[in-house]
Amino acid sequence: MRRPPFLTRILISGLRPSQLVMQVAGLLFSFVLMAIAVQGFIDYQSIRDASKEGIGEDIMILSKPVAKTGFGDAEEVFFRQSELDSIDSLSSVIDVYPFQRNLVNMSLLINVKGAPIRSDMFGVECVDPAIIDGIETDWSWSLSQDGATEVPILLPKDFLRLSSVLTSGFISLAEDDLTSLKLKLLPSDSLRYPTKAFFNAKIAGYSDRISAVLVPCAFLEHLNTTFAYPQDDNDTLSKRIAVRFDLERIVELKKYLADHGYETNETKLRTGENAALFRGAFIAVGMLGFFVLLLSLTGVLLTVQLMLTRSKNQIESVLIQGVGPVVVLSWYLKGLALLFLIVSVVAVFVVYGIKAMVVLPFLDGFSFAVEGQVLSWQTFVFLGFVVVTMVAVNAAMIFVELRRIFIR
Amino acid sequence: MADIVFHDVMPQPLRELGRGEDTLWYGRHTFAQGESYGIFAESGRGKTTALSLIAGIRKDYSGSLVIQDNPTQNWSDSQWSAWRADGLSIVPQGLRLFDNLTALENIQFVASRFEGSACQDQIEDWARDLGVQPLLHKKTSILSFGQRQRIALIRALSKPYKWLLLDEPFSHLDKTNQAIVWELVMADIQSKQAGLIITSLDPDNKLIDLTIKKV
Repeated sequence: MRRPPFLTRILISGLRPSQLVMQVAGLLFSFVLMAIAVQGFIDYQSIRDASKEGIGEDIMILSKPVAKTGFGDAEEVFFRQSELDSIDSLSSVIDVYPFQRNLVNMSLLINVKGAPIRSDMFGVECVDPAIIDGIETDWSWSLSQDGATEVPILLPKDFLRLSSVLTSGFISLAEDDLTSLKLKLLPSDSLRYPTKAFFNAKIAGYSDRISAVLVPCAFLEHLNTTFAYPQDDNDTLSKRIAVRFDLERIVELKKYLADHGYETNETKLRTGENAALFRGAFIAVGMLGFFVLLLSLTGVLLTVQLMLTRSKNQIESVLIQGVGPVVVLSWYLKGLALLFLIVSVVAVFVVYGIKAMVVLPFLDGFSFAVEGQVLSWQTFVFLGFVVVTMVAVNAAMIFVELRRIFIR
Repeated sequence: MADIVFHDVMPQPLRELGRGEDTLWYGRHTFAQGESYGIFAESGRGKTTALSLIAGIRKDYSGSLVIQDNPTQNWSDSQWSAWRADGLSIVPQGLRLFDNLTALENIQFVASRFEGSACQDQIEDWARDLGVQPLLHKKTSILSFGQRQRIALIRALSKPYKWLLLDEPFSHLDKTNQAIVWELVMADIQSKQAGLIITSLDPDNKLIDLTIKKV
């Protein structure tokens, strides 16, 4: 017995084209929901895991409040070791990094298109490179190396704006000019000239995180030991510290900072709170994911059930003409497998688009990152598993339905 | 031989309606392959039900239905399917044509699957005899019930079978077409040495009455 002709035209005739489009759209919606739920869950896990590995952390710079106007060397402005220990003992704090400052008078000479501009009382700092962002070139400096007069410096991102503000707009630096600027660091042991040496500063990058001009610690140490000598204990204390903290526990840290009057970037705190809120949203997505998943699977099953119901007369007529149930079953399964495959591929593209064009740009405003590919391999595996499971479940359902047609 | 035997068969709905006194139900009735049988009764007496039991479309009955010496109570779906494919050819009361196919495609849906089916010329000859040859390439959805009835009959005759089951095949045919149909049917079952079971509302149909046994 040969395969019956026109089977596709017969069995599909139970559905009007508009119904078919609606069914496929429903399937696509279900698959997109599933892919979003799975990818959302994986991204949530990625952020959770990342927080354990340090990616879900952030860094803020703390300083003590300025209570008195002056040269800023009052005892209140320095972080004592006991304060550092207290901050370090907070469960939200992962590590504390004191900044070292220059103890030598420093001038900065900027050569803007042949016109030298000098800024005295210029300060540089150094901190553990582990927390420095934005370094694009070599950050090492050694007195013994060739070209020791070349010093890498890291400028804050807002340096352009600050340059203009500090010079009443006299200096207007364009970003493109910065790489060609000639900067010289001129240390001296007093505010009087002449300077004792000069170093050519080489811009190593721009930091988002740290609003200070940074140099390698080896260089700062060389400056402080060569051109100045610590006079008392306060000279070695830090005025600013960097704190690496756990984003999930920002609330505890915020309370501590408020209680002790430390100053930090408010935006950073808000970002941290936003991050906590966002994390909460991810947890909600994770919890809803399973529900969405069940809903989607039910949607797929109902869609196929509806297709079968609408084609019941055609199926019955085909079976009455001696076509085997297995032939009908295999026709449905081939069609459904193909349909599921196409729909899942389209769903992958849709979810990829949503994540790449909406979610990731949105997350750019937060201090934590979603790791990995836009769509993880687990999502593909899951969708593949869903397709296989759907085909199997539908096979069972169609088989039962075919049996039920003649069960009377 | 593919004889069909009813042993005390009684459809459940008819028992509930108290139709047990009708001839076909209860008792032993044998339908021998090669013979022709008519089931005449008014509406609601189980004519279509009887054909549905033989085709395995319904299973809500008591008693025993034996086909080719095999009790069918425990037949699997594939056994029923094989019986419908190899043993039967059916013109159901509702015809069950596929409206989105042409008349010829409806016939080919059945004929093209079996060795020994009628060839295209034979199908066209039958269609010409029945006056539906110009309609072969039209979709059946636009045909009248009488035209569809003749197409369904050609479809049934076009394949090899042991039993031809016709459920009120003349309901929408005029006397002339009834005679032509009857002639074709008788010629075909004789050539195939097949059995015929036909149902009709009209026990006085002279045409049928003259040629077949009554149950």
